[in-house]
Amino acid sequence: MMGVALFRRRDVIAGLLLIVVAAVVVTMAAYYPAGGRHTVGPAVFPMWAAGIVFASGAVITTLGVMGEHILPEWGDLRPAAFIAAAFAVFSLLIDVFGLVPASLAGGFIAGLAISEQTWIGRGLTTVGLTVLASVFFVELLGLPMRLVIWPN
Amino acid sequence: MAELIDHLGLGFSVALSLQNLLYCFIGVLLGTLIGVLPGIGPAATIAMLLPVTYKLDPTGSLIMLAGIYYGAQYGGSVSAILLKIPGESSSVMTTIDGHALAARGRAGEALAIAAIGSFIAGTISTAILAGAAPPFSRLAQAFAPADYGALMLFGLVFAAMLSSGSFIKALAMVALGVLLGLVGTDVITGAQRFTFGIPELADGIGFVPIGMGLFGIAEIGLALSSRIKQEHVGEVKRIMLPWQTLKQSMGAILRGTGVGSVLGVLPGGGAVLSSFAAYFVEKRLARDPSRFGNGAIEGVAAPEAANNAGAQTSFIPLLTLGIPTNAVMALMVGAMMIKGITPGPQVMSGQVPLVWGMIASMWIGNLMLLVINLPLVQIWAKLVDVPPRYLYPAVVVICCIGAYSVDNAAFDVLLVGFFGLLGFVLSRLGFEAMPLVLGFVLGPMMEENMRRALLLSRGELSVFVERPISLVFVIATGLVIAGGLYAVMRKRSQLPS
Repeated sequence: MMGVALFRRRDVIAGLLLIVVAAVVVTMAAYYPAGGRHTVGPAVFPMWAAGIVFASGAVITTLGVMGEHILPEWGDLRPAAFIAAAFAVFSLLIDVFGLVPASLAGGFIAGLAISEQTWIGRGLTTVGLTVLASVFFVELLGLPMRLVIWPN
Repeated sequence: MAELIDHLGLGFSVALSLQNLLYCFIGVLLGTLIGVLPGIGPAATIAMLLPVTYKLDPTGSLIMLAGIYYGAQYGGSVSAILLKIPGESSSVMTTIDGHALAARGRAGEALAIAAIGSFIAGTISTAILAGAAPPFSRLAQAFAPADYGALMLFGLVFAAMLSSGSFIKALAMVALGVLLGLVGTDVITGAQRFTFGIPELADGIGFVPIGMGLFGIAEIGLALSSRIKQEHVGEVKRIMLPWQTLKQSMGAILRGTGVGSVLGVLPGGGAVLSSFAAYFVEKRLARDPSRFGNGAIEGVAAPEAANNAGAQTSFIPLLTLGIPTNAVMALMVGAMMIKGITPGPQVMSGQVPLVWGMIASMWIGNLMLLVINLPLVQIWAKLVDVPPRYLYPAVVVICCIGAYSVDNAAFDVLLVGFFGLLGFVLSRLGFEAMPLVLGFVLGPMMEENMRRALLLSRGELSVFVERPISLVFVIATGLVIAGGLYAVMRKRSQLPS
């Protein structure tokens, strides 16, 4: 079949991804007890679920190879990457430096997801957000979070 | 009947307390506020606002969440009518005629009929919910573990069948959700599964990271990456609804309520399926079907009534059987579990004030929607214009803090980001998040019930076909799978070679 290269087709990628997930699950579940004649061990349900994931992956891959050549519409990947990074950075900073530094860093990185924003605009939005979040969550709702943790 | 009236009386006495009225009001207001933002639906709204309810008592928390749900649903209709961007899939049908009406300068009428239709449907379906919940609950008490296991299996497969995309992909998502639900310590043997040696995963993956990530964060990523073009219709000066229009819409509202009330109970049903079915029923019944798509007021009234009725009656299986039939109900289960409540027949009989307080608050919530939204519609109309550069960073920071605040666990925040990214990738590959979340919630319950049934039957698989209730669900599951596979094969055979 001509047209879209095999490994760029949406359903081929989707199906292969499922097959990989099923393979990882089966490999891990093989080490869990399967149970005996009268008991069902912790390996059984993951194996069944992995079987469904594998079978679905195989069908989707086959349909992707033989059927319509659909390309995944990824769009602009930058926003999703920056938003995920914002969560990662917030999670790294919150226990070490406190809410204010974590919100400043997380908010700024999330702001990078929006290309229309200027650097000054991003900075001001982040500072404003951090102030509002600190007042609302810590001062008003009384959530047990330290605003700033000073290094010893 | 006397018992029903007693229960409703108790429910209203709980819901009408000043504190719970305030929670209901805040819920409806916040739900509309967030739900009106383009691309953010009720599931995403509830996921984002879950942390706001942590500090409340269980009754107050559930009342607020139900208010958020209805508010978000109406908010979705506002962006559907004014911007032609359905906030969620149940508003897709409203977009068609609602925006056409708005483009002809009748936005006020469309918004008013959406609110009034939702209120009428909400009132009728709350009565249906109140009447149907007790008998359903008594039926549920006859369920053995095998029946529950078979029912959950049927629910998952049926939800996959009714999802809007491919059946095979939805089935894969259900299984993937089940696998994610199995992460952590096995409740029967104490074995650790799929924890990768990470201590934070020993108690399993929390519901908040999954719900917030797959719905809230993934939707923001998708909205920013696709840069949806907004088609604004200009200023909405005032809401007015001529008597003639209301009269013309009344039949559609009542039919929509009927369709929505029935379909809302089905697994995979709820607001989405209801609104689609109601729209097509109206189009079929219309003397001049060509009006539909060009600004027929019934095209707004019917789906809006149906999605609200469906939203309401989807609480029936949740409250009586403990089975969430759609993503929003799965989020409600998550919220209940955070409060230490496991939904099911025991809750119906053991937590009477909570359940009936919530049911009564549904009607009050619908009334508040009407009272708040008609005067505030100009504000909502302005809110849909808030630039994303301010909005989305704020949502991200709020979600970070919200996810962290559940257990003061930084790892949960990391998981939100991971599931956000996963939701984005899955969506781009043509998968839906809804079956995954249902699998995540129902999977561990299904495993527990099935393993318990097998323990009781000393490993005999025949336990699932010996009892009439489980036999019915096993046969129904088989039929649904056969139907789904037939549809896949038929589609395949119709493709050009």
